[in-house]
Amino acid sequence: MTETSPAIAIRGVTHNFIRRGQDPMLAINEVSLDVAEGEFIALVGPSGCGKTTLLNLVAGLVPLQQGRIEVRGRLVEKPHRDVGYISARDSLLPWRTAEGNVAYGLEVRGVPKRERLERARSMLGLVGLAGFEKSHRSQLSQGMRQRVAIARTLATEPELLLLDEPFSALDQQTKLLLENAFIEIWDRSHRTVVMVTHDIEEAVAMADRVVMLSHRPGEVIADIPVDLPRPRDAAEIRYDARFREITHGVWELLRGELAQLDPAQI
Amino acid sequence: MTTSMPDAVHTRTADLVDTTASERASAAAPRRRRLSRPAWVSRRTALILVLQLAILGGFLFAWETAIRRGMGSEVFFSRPSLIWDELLAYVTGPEIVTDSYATISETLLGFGLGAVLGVLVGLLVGRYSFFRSVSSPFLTALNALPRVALAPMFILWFGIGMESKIYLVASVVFFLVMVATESGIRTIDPDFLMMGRAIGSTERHMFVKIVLPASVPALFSGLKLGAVYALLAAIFGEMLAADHGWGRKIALGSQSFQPAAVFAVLVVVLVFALALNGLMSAIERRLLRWQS
Repeated sequence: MTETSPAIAIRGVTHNFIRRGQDPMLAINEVSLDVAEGEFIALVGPSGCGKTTLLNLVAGLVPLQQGRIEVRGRLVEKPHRDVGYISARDSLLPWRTAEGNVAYGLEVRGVPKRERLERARSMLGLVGLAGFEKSHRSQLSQGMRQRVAIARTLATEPELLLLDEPFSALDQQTKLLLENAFIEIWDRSHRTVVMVTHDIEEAVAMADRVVMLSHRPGEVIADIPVDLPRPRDAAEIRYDARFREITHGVWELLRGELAQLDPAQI
Repeated sequence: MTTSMPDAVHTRTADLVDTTASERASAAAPRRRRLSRPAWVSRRTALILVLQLAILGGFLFAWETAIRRGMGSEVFFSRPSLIWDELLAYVTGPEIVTDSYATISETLLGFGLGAVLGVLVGLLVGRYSFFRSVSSPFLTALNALPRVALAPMFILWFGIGMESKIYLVASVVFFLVMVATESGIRTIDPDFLMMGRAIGSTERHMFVKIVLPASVPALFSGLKLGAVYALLAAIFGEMLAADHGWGRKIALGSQSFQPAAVFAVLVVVLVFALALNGLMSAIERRLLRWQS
């Protein structure tokens, strides 16, 4: 793979929601987007702009209808083991312990039991859950569950991470803690990340680039580079003047987009 | 503004990766609560037990007195003291061994056969829509048919021995367990399946590691119901025609106007039913420890 070939290449992707007994609804229209190797991009946009659908198309969880998506030069057809996916819902298997959940992805990959439990434990340590290896989902707080979910995906060492509002189900404090934990871990490996979020501050605080989609049908309407230094502290950076400038710019764009909408559509 | 922010925000990155104190406390709390039970809980439990015994005792006493005073015929209703004598005679006599052996074997073997097939078919039909589409009219029709109505045919085909009851029991248990297993699979949290797919599970892993364990709670409600109906079907089959068994004893007792004998057998049936139910609950608790 050459230096210039993107980690993700999205070309002319159009997607319709097909609903029984109704006309298909155009959700995404002619979206093209490149994500460079090691880049962290945030996808933002009004609700219903198809950003999650676009992410699921890249993940191979939703079949592609029109256009072309390549991940590291390979056409996406179904979920690939090099790609990690984290959603807002932890989806922990409640009958498994925390370490059992983290080890799941490794189990699927045929890693021997001893090794996968060892790796699961060290991943739990990395997300700050040492001592909770044997806890079941019902014994963990929402923030801890999401940490386990993040550890489960990171344990498989994906080349590419797709995040669907990974911190949106958390309270403000836990959210800041986890955002920070995540970028700290990310700083060590610089994997390619695409994060869907509705939180503009989160997008600017974490990403290298913020890509904005329009309201349905989703089209790319802005691509804003975030030239803030790294390593960043997701909490502290919110008091930075440049951060506020960028956030304000993104918000102005989003407001312009929202202003065109009929309130009943939102 | 920064000075008014919560402490957590100010903590440096290294600490931020660590769990906050409040998170730890909230996760540890339920475990601690479970250990020490307040005194009023055991007092409440004792009171409940006393009241339950009083209700049972009162009922038996009222029954005994009413019959003794001639308010009902002893030939039809018997009374607790006569039933007790009959029970003692039955449990110390030779018949109880052959009767219990027959009924318990029929119940357990039929239950085991029906449950294994029910789980297998339920898993296939629940997971693979193709199997469901092909088999659904047949399964629906057979399920709608009251299988006890087939009991005389089972006796015709398999004789009056234990075999006919085992198949009758199995046919009743099969549908209960199959329907419960199927609905358990079809109501699995779609997030589990999405996660499984996203993380790259093979179909075998999805089935064995996600679908199967996720359907255990529903499967168990079917198994528990199945255990109750297994005993019912075994006894019903024996009442029609059998060499031995509690059902045969009940049929003989009622036909020869010996209500005390019928009630005595019912006490034995009750003890076994409770033991069976207790066993099922114990297995369920063991398998579903994670649910607490």
